[in-house]
Amino acid sequence: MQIRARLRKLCTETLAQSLDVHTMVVLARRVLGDYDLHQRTGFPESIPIPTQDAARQIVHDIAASGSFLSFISLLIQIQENGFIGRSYRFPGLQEIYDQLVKAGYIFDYDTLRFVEDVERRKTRNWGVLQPGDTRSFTLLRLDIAGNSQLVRRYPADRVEGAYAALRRMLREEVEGRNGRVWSWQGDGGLAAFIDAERNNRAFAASMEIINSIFLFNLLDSPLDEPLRVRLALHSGLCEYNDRFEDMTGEALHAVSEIEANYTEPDSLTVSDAVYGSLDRLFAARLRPVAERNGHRYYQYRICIEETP
Amino acid sequence: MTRVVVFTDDESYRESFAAVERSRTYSLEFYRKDELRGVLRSLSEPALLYYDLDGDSDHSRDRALRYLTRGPEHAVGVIDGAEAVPDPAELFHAGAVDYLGPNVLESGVHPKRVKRAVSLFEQAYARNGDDELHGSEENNGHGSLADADVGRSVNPSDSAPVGVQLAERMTLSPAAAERMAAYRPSGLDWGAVRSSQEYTFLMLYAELDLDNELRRIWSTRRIERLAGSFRSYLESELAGHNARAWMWSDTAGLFLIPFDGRHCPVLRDCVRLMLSQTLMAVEWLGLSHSVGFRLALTTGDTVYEDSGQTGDIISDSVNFVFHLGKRYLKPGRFVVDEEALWQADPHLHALFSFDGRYDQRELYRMHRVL
Repeated sequence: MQIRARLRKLCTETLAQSLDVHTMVVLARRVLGDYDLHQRTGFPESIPIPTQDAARQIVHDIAASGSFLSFISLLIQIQENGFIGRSYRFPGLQEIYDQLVKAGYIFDYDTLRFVEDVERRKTRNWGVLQPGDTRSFTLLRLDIAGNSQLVRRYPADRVEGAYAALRRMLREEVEGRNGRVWSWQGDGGLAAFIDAERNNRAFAASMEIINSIFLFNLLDSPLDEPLRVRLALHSGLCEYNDRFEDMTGEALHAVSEIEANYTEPDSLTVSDAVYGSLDRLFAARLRPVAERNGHRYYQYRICIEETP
Repeated sequence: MTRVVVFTDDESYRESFAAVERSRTYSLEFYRKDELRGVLRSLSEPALLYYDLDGDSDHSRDRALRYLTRGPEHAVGVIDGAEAVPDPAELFHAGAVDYLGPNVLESGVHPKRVKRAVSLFEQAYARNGDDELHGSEENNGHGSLADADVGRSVNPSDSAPVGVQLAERMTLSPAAAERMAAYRPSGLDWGAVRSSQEYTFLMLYAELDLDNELRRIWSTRRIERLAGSFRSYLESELAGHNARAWMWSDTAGLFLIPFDGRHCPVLRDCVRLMLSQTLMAVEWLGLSHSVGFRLALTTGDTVYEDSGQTGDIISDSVNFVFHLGKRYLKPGRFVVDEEALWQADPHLHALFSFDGRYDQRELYRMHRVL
């Protein structure tokens, strides 16, 4: 994320007006880890660093590391809750906040982080993840069952039309719940959710996709047979990278396994890692479908009575 | 309308249209069937379209015809050289204006026939067209379908795919046909709806299902807040149909949905709502208790007044739908009257079964989502 000069200046002034150098360094270390201000500024250890210089250097380093939003999140929390028993007021913080909102970010009070305002901007890293960040994600894997047969059986434009509609559904339902579609490979894709409510959001998106496909097959599909999909949800650690091919993590592998091995067409399979934190009403819509290696899997599918 | 466009993969049919091609009145164009959508998008003026059913599966044929007859822009004729359509009259019910069987194709299509087909289409739309449906000062949108031509009047749905077995799923009762003939559709544009005038609307009754135990536990304020959220949810989900929450009391209300007198697209979204009750409870209402709702969709006539000024309205249809919702409808259920179902996409019919009669109106119930 590019931090404009005006915003840096504002942040520098805010720090210089509100904190002593020692506290500034403590806060910088919260975000950057091991941080040596003397080494960064070139001031010898024996000489005190002027407040303005300290603030300027810290803001520069935080912006360069890509942690600016995390640092502002920290300031917001400190202004609201205090820090080590003291309360602080940051005079320029409201203006910084306003500028970030203007740039397309909102502060999520659940996760205490800035996230992208999905109405205004969407990037695959929510504007906050850095390459190499390892985080817990909820992953949604979607696969079209019988893709090869469909491709052989129908003219390309009809298959493409059906798949494009499916992709639209995935994108709408996922992004509408602050998830991101990380990959789409023609016959399926993978989406990710990151925030505190990620399991419930991912489940809601998946449920809505299953419902939408049901109506799509009934009313809109250009194919003469139902488009059948398998969806799987799993939550776990994953290392983020800007290119999907470079992402790694157990969760990526596991969600593909669940989709391939425990998921029937027209259904969603949820791992126990997701099931455990689902809203009670969502969990009630699931039934156990398999148990392997100490892990349980649960299934959702639309069931409509055939005769009343 | 002087443009005739034929969609066929059979070159031999060019000969059948030779007389039309020679005529100075009509211009004739041939396209392959897979060019249908692209050509339709590019047509800038009304045309008479002939579509060849040969080689289509029942499903493809249904889709193509539904696509062709979806709007009022073009007249549609059908080429059926192999006599694949068991009941050609169904085509006319679905909005077609001509049927070319093997005999006609062999003897050739005469320009006079084309003229008659175009004339049939124009008559239907002159009486039943969008202008009238939207209401002018003279007719206030009260174009009676009883006056319209057969084939564009009381029919299952102008977009109904031929071959979908409507008759097996449901039949339209004579009483319903009579009511449909007397429709005074509001038209799809609220701008044309005037206060103190009577129109036919689609009416959706919706009620949040709160049992006595929840009513006892929850405060009045909480229930009011919940009902408000429920109403907002429905308004948001039905926004694409220009639905208006017209009357609302406690946890139940009536939505008025503008109606063209022929189609009921809102049924699709009602089905979607029924599938999504859990999503609503969690995402919109933030509940951890299972709370659902009941819906009833009917067609009905009422004098229109703005919401909040409806106290003096006397309408059998409004009474009917409230009684239906309060006395007949069980929690979590969705019923639709035969007229609304008849005019909805027939592919949805499989989700409904005949449920009984209430106040002389036949009702269909959506199968339960388990």
